[in-house]
Amino acid sequence: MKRQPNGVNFDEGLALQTPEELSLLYVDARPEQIGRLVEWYNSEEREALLLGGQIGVGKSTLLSALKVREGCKSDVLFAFDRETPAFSPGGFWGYVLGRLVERALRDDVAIPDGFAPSDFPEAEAADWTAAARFLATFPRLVAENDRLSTVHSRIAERAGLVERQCKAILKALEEKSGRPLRIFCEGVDKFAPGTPDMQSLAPVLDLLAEFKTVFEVNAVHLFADEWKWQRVPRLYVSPFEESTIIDLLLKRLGVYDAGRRDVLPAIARFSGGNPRQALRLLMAYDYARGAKRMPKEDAFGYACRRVRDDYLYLSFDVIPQDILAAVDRDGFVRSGLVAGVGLLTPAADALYKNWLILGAKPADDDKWPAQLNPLLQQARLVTDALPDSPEMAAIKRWAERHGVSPYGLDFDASCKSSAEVLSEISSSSSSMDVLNIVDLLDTVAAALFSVDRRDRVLIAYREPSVMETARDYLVGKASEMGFSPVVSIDLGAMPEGERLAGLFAALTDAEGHAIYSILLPQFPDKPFLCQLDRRRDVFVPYEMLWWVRTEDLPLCLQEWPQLRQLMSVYILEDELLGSLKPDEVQADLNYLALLEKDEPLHEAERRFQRVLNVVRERRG
Amino acid sequence: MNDARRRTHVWDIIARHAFTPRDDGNRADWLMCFSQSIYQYLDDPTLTIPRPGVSFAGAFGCRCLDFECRYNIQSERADFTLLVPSCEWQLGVESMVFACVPDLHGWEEAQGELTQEDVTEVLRGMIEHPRTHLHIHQDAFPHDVRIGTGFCAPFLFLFQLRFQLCIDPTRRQAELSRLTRIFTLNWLRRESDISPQALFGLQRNA
Repeated sequence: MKRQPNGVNFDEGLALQTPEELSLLYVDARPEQIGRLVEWYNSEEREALLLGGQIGVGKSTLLSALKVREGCKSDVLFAFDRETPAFSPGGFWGYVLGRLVERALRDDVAIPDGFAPSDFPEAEAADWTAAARFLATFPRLVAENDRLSTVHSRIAERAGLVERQCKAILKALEEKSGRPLRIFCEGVDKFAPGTPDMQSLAPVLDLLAEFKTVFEVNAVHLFADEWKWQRVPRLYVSPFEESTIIDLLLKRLGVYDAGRRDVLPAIARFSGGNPRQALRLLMAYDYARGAKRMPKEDAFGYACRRVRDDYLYLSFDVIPQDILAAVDRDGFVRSGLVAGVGLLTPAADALYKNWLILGAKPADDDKWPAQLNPLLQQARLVTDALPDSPEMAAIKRWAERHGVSPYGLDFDASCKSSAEVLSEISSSSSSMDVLNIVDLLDTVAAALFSVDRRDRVLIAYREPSVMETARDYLVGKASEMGFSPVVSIDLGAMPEGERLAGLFAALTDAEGHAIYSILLPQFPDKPFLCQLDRRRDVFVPYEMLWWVRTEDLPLCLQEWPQLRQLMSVYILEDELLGSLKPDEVQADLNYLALLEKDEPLHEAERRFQRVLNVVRERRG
Repeated sequence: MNDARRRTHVWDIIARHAFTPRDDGNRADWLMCFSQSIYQYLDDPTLTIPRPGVSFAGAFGCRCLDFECRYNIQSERADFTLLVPSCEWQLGVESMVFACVPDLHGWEEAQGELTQEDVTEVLRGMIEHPRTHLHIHQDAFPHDVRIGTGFCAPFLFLFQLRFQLCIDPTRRQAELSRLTRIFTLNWLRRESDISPQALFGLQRNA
């Protein structure tokens, strides 16, 4: 992503990747972890390492810093979340085999016995080069997807063979280079323990754990020892100190820090030390101040409620209130409560979804310092120790007047299911803005039309006709601003098994000129939503508008603990005519009529004409 | 010819050929390019695309400065309402009211003496640091924002304000350099109109 050397650099908390991003925005506050990673990298030992932390804490950025700032490049990189063609045993093994063969061919290492290109006639590959590309690339065509599925089944049937072959390639590569291979496994954190996808991935990770591999994992993975790969040395990435969060936010604000500097201590306090949460709070605050023109204390409250709802929408069988209460009381969580075989324990689930925030690693690995996410606590408890200043006094007044949680987290009450929580959210004054079409445009324009940013906006609608008109209106405005093309993708029109391939096939412009308008199917199936969640980082380079029916929104948000982090969510008001008046749309068209038009402006004209027709028709 | 008289010519030529669109079509085109450039030049911007009619009325601003400008431009007058939290003021340009017009004879003589420094100085007074300007004294509003008040051309005021709302010195310098490449000495001698696409550095196929 292009960054401004001195200006504002907002995003949804994406990992810093390029040298430019790291030099401008990276806060070098984890020297011990970087030191340990460099030590691991330079060591001649063939030792694996788990690099683990909670969602949004900065694991990927730390790995980027290792690669870019410290010059520690990987010999082999696996991006299991982004690149694996299918999250199945055959999909994972096939991907690893494909990547290793690519590396072996590059190093002029003979491919050991095992599968041969002729075993994959569906790949239509004459040699290993083409076969490896086939195995390691996400299919962009439905037919390709079908062929790949057949190959995956064949590989899964002979998992022992592919494992031996992969191991032999790794050893041959090591022999050739005369040192242990440095293997980076990114995106393992997207696969929660106990899920079918993780069950499929784990044997592959077990093989890689025999080599010099660093695994990027969630904090919950550090507590388990069910698989061999989980029993390797661990490096924990803890939350930042509040002062570091402030430094990080100041870098993001660049020369515009003066107007926001006063509120940063409060944002740091409510972030719980999680940089992504801090950045989202700052962006929501900035929006409330600049676009909604709210006074400071109201703007701060708005930001807290808006980011808090990210957590409340996540799915829990039952809110683990006993655990939350114990952590709130004791200030720690026992490892035994988080560790477990198979599915996540309630405490681990609360960690995975960032309801609980772990502190620094304890010496005895037993009592982990932990706190309830500050956005889920009663606000006045969080603001108690804020420094004295006029701004902090205003925020403390706000905290006295309002809790942050909609139900106050009264721990003596009986446990609530996530359905009950959802019901409470929808009946309370939710921070999820219900916006008419014009307000929606105002809200998303800064992100959507910025040439530097790549944001994803999720818009929930009740009335399909209102959604279609809103889509035309937003596309018209985007075209007016010179964005072209706007690519419409209707996932509901695709057969169920082909949606992911269809979606990926359409994503072709990573340069940022296109805006993708994606309509989710009605009643989206859970496996599809999970796939989107795991593959979250595939969407990072793209500017996207996602559309979903209001009744399907809770299902999406519940299944998207990862993807939700990269989205802003709004609800589209049902009423069309309240915001769009024929004379105003006509005025847009009159304006375009005055201009010399290029193709985007012609597109804008077509879209506004359709909007005008609908509005006139409705008015009778 | 002294520097001031020569630069008065330069100012006049730039103002007429880049900031004085002649009819509604030109004004619409200029303002559309202006609007498109807002997302490319400003940090964290807000924008309302102007609506044509008796006047062109639109708005733009910068969220991280909590600043918005609402404008209403007609052929004979223009109004600019500037909003920062709990503070609102209005600046008017009434084109029918007499204002002192500089003596512009002697351009032939001036052309022979033009230097790049003349252009640089004019752009400084026109865009970067107008002689008469306002500062906003509120909270931590940056002192670097100078809102020029002495302009007779409303479109020049818009352009100047857009420049000022970006306080990133690197981008400001890049913008000034870009303008310097547009308003060259050769161009001044030719005196052709500058298209808004060129003025705002947009790639359009119109």
